[in-house]
Amino acid sequence: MRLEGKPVVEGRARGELLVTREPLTFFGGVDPLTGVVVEHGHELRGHRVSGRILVLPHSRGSTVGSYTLLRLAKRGLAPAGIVAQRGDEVLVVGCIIAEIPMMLVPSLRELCELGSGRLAELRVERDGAVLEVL
Amino acid sequence: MHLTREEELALEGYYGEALSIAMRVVVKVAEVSGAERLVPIKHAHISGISFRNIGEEGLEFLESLASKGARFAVPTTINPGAFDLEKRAEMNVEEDAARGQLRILEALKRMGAKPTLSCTPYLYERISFRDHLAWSESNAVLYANSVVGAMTNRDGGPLALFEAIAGRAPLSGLHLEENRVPSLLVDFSAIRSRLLESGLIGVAGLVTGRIAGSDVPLVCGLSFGSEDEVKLYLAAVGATGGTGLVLLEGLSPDLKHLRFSEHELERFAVDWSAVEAELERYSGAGDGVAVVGCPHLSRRELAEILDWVRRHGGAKRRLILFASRAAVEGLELSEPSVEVYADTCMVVSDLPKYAGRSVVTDSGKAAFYLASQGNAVRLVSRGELLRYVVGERG
Repeated sequence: MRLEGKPVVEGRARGELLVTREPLTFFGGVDPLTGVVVEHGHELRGHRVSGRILVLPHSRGSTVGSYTLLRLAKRGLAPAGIVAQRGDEVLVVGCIIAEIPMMLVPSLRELCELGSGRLAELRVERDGAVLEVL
Repeated sequence: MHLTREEELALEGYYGEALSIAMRVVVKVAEVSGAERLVPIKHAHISGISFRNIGEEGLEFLESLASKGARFAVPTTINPGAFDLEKRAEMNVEEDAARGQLRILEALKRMGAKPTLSCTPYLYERISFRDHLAWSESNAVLYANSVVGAMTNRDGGPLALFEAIAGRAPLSGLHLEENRVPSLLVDFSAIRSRLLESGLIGVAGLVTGRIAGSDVPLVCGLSFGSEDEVKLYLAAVGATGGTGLVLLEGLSPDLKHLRFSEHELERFAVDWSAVEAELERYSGAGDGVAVVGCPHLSRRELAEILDWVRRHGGAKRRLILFASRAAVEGLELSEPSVEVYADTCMVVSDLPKYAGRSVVTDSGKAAFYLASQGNAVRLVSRGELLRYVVGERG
């Protein structure tokens, strides 16, 4: 499967897909010291975002969440790449300062049907972005 | 998106790495929000500077920006930090946490920040109608837009930092006249006098925020005793709602300029049960420590409260006031039974370390956040809070 999207942060990433239909709170919802989702009631609770290509609609909560992405990256625990439906401020600012490749897609339907676990490659360039599920 | 030649040069790194990173962030956020161009700003206010939240990595990032030559292009103020710089011992701040916070402050100062450490920049900074600003801290954003008629989005702390360096913000959201038009009407007329008598203006703010969500409301039927009550009200709106602008009948300068037809707005008439429902959420703890100053107290409020407590024989229960350094330094009277802290507040400091986990407050915003941090919170009017403080222990 090959999905084209809108580039936000350039770069290349390879990793297992971690897919959620629910918005994720980074500040307070992802442990910056371990990369594990700790948000109460979230379907990804207990999963580790580290090294994954995280697929989500958008983030929510405090804008300190951008720093959470940075903290994860400095510890080598950040997602390898992010595919989102909406480029909210926390994700855009966070991915730029943490240097996490990011692209936007109009719909998450296909990826949600596919679910987590498959290996994928994200390639984001200035003029285009693509997610290839291997 | 259109960029000026100057902005392109900055983006490409002609003026150094730091400005290039800042410009990249601002341009990306602008692109994603559909802005056609950037707009020069007059002032920036940065939140999210607490060491407890951004950690060692956030601190190092700020230091590296400062070392790469990042400088704020416009006057820039900063939100409260984790403790009162002169009363660290009283607040039981640990050595490492203190050192981290001071290094953050130092990095921000190197970039040119005024170390105001207050959430009420609108009381001290010169901002005017239709100035474009890059402010984070929701109560400040709401005040600037709603009372001054300045234009700022409800930016996050990290974005405001980069906007301050770039001297620009995306021309989107509340920077555009067309997005400042109300889409609903919140009407307090039916309970106007009851609200006034009870002094529960902060609770009215929580109600407004819940109704408005992220939309711009027109609000009528509220009476404010002072500017200080307006800030208490707006701060509470910002806690329960995502909006950055509230159009207050008889007060908001935007209302003289915007064109819309009021009778077409969806109307929400507020009755007393909505106030009671909010109070119900914060009805814990009968005997907590009284905390006041969210948003930071103005000079006048601080003097009024201390004077009132003194005239009533001093505080019999613990009362902690939070204000900006500027307000505290201007103070001529003192009341030894009352604690006054500057540079910080009850929400961003480690409150349980010096005040326990049970509090009484007059601030809807503080009640909202302190409850979410797991404290037992009772929300009352300021009058009731002060009577509680000077009353004999039950």
